Amino acid sequence: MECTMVTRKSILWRTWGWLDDRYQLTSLLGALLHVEIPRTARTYYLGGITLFFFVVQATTGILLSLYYQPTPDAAPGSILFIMNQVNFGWLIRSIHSWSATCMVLFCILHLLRVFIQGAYKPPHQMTWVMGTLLLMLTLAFGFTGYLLPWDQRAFWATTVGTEIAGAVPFIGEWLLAFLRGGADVTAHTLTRFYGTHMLVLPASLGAALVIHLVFVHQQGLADPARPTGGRGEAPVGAAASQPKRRLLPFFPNYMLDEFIAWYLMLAALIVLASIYPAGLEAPADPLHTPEHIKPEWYFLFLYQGLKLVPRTVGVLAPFVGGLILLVFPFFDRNPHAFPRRRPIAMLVAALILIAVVGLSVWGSSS
Amino acid sequence: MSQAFARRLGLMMAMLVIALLIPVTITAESPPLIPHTLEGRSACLACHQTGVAGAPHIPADHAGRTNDMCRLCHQPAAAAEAATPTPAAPAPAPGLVPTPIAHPTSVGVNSCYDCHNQRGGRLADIAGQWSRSVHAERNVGCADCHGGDPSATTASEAMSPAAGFVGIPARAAIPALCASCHSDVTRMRQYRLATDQYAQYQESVHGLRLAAGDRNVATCDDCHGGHQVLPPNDPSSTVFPVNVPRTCANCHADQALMAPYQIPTNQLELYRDSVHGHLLLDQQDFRAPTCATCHGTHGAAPPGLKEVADVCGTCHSATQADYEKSPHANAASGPRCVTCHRNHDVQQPTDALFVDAEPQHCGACHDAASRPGQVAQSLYAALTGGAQAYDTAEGAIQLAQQAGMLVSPLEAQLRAANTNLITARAVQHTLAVAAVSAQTDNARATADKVKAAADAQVAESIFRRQAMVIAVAAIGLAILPLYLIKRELDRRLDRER
Amino acid sequence: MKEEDRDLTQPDEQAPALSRRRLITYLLGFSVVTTLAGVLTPIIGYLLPSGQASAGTGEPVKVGATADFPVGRGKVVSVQDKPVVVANTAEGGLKAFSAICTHLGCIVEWDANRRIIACPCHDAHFNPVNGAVISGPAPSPLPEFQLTVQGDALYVTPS
Repeated sequence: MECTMVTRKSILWRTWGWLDDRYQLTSLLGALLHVEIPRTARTYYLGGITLFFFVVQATTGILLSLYYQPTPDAAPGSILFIMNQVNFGWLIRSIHSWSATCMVLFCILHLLRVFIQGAYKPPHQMTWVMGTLLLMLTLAFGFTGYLLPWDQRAFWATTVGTEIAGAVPFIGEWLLAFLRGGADVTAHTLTRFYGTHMLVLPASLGAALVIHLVFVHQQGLADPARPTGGRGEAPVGAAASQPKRRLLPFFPNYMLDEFIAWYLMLAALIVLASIYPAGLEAPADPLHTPEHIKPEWYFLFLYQGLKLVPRTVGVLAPFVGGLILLVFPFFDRNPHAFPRRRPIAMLVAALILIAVVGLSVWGSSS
Repeated sequence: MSQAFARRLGLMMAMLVIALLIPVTITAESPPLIPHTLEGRSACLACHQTGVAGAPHIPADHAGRTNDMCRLCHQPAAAAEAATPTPAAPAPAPGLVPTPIAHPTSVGVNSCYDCHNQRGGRLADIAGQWSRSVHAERNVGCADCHGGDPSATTASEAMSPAAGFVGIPARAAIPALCASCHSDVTRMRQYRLATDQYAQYQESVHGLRLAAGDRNVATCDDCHGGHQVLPPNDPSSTVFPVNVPRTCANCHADQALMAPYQIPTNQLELYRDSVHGHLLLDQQDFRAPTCATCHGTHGAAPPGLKEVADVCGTCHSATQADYEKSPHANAASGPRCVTCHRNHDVQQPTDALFVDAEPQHCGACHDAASRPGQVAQSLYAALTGGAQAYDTAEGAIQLAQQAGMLVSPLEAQLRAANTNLITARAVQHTLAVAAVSAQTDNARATADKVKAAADAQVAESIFRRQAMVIAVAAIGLAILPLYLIKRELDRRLDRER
Repeated sequence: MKEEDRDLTQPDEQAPALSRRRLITYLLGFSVVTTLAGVLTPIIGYLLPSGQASAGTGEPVKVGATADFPVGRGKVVSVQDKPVVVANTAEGGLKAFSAICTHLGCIVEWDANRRIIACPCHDAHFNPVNGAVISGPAPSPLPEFQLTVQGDALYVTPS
């Protein structure tokens, strides 16, 4: 045995060599992995964590789809079956439910981090645009997935949510029918949401994600400690003006940190799924409206806001807000990246954050 | 001295003078006889002062005389008294109902209503009440009950006896007056109204007393309203189910009115707190009984002890069927429904009825050591045992639900136990321990099975948390080498750069 | 692979570093194996059919043979943990209704004498032809289930 170990490399090395000979994997991976990132990028894990949650969602989602039945008659029963009869079904479904919440949460935290550090400023505007699209796709995932159990909570939250879409001026009626697949929430709505959740959104999000990551890879990460930004400045990358001591290899240093963070998130998911497993209410009854209908937490601020402002304002605000969020990097003329040099931006962000969080808390208790 | 006393004194003096003059005057001309009955007509001057309804004016020498003086000289015509001129005869022979009041007909004209409405005040109120009634809808007008000529334009013509004017009907005459139409099958057929109300009324407590001369009992208008008569399914009607308790209580809660009959006056209070009262008055549930449901409507009389089971059994049919099989039903002086459940203040019965010797409890009649006492204890044990097993199972399901488990299949299974328990409580009225135990044993078996399943769910949730701890520990262990390698790499990086 | 993951038989200068390195290597191997096992075990367990009886939802469930339900006979059966009353009447043929009384949730029974569906709790009577309330405190009719006859077996579709 010892003789062979001296002359032949391990099986893993030999497999790698076999593939490398054919596909030049080493140089390909090298180009992807051997990049440098700013050393001060400690908060940079948030985007990777969001990606981790997406992978978890994709995995658990595929598993759930093997048992879920997307018709009003069968849906709640199939969920109950998954929870009570399928081995580890409760775990897969509870992780899927909690990971959805975490994905939205960390997507928003990632957005906040990028905003505060001014990492959206030129030349990173398109990365921000793709990121905002990713956030909207994530919220769409949450909205469509929420209906799938077809219990009272799912049915009525969707009814209220799509009703709001119907209040959009001019196109409201058409939009409502488009979302619902008809005038009311029916089996047609369920299949429409299911197909969107399973096929349209994953493909869209996957594409947007690849573009987002390509942009990040090509430009390198923005350094939060760089003195000033500015239009026309060369992309900040390892080969650029940064001294080596300010940089950190992506592989293996940063990736290790990222993996540790992912492990911690996995532990959090397991704890949440075990202590607070996903629930299921009574099967949907279109003839009986429950007393308190509330959307999922990430829509609570919209739901509460609609109670305070005129209907048209409340309905158009998210569209207008989303549009502003999407394109404001193109209108931001302040060349500075430090928060201290951008008081107005910080103030606006703080106000919006307080308003959204406040409305959400208010909405959850009312 | 007081004014009243002075008046009385003056009156007595006048009477003395007149009495002395009677022999003098009687040869000259005797005072006219009173040609009409005196029922409801004690205010002579009301008509004779002004000549209303064709009444002769009082002569000038009668000026200053008051109503109570008239009868001293004017005697009722014997013929008038003997005959019963008004159609509203008090207590005719059973089965005989007078014909409706004959009066001139008019189409589309009701001068009574027009005139009285214009006069305002109480007259207008009454006219308004009539206009809202079902009688007004069906063209039953003022003249149909009061007589008179509704097409006439002057008061004297409209309210003349020649036109059949009766005025306010005598109380004792009212049932027969209403019955003159409402007992007429031919007339009532078109409205699909029953025609037995009068016959029933005459057998009721109210009717019997009225026939005996008691004017304080209820007649048709006391319950249905005199002028604003509405069908029973109209929510404003006094006999709409929700309003019935209040209508009965108008008299039956009046202590002064009920004192001579020694009838208690707290029934409405008791009823309001009862299960039936809450259902009817708070939840507007018409399946709940009103006073009339148990006491009867027109033939109102409190059900006798023998009849109680049948009265309660009209709704509680299954319970009555069970009760009829029990020794209680067959015992001559055995308890009836109201003995244990009370009548007006029926509450949700509890298992406490089986224990102790308070009134309405088993122990009030049966000694604990006697055979019936033993049966009571066996029933109590069976019922409470079953209920306890059910509650325990429910609690276990709650625990499982709080632990995050989905419990709807368990709740569905427990439903069978609930059915058994409720059936047991109904069957207990047979006093057959075997029948009750059969149900409670089933309930207990199902409840125990459900409890075991719920406990298994709780155990599963505990197992999951234990597995979670192991999984988190394993992750911690997995992170350890990564962290160590990372630290090594960071140090190396610091050295190199 | 990691830079320090060289061939272990190569002599190394620092003996403590070797054992430390070995420890880390073993730990790393352990963490990889544990992670793989921890992720794959639930997934594979999940994918294996659980073998439980109540598998299908929305599929017709067999409740008995047609010979069990001559005219005038009725029975309460369990369809996926839900009680269903199946009855055969001259007026309506074979019908299936939810056996949960709409009054207070007791489970109804088949009254063979009167040939109606009756609830033992408070004596509600239901019409076995259409589930409507005949008498009693029930506020609404019993929901009907779809019943199909295939060959000599009866199937009820839960919903």
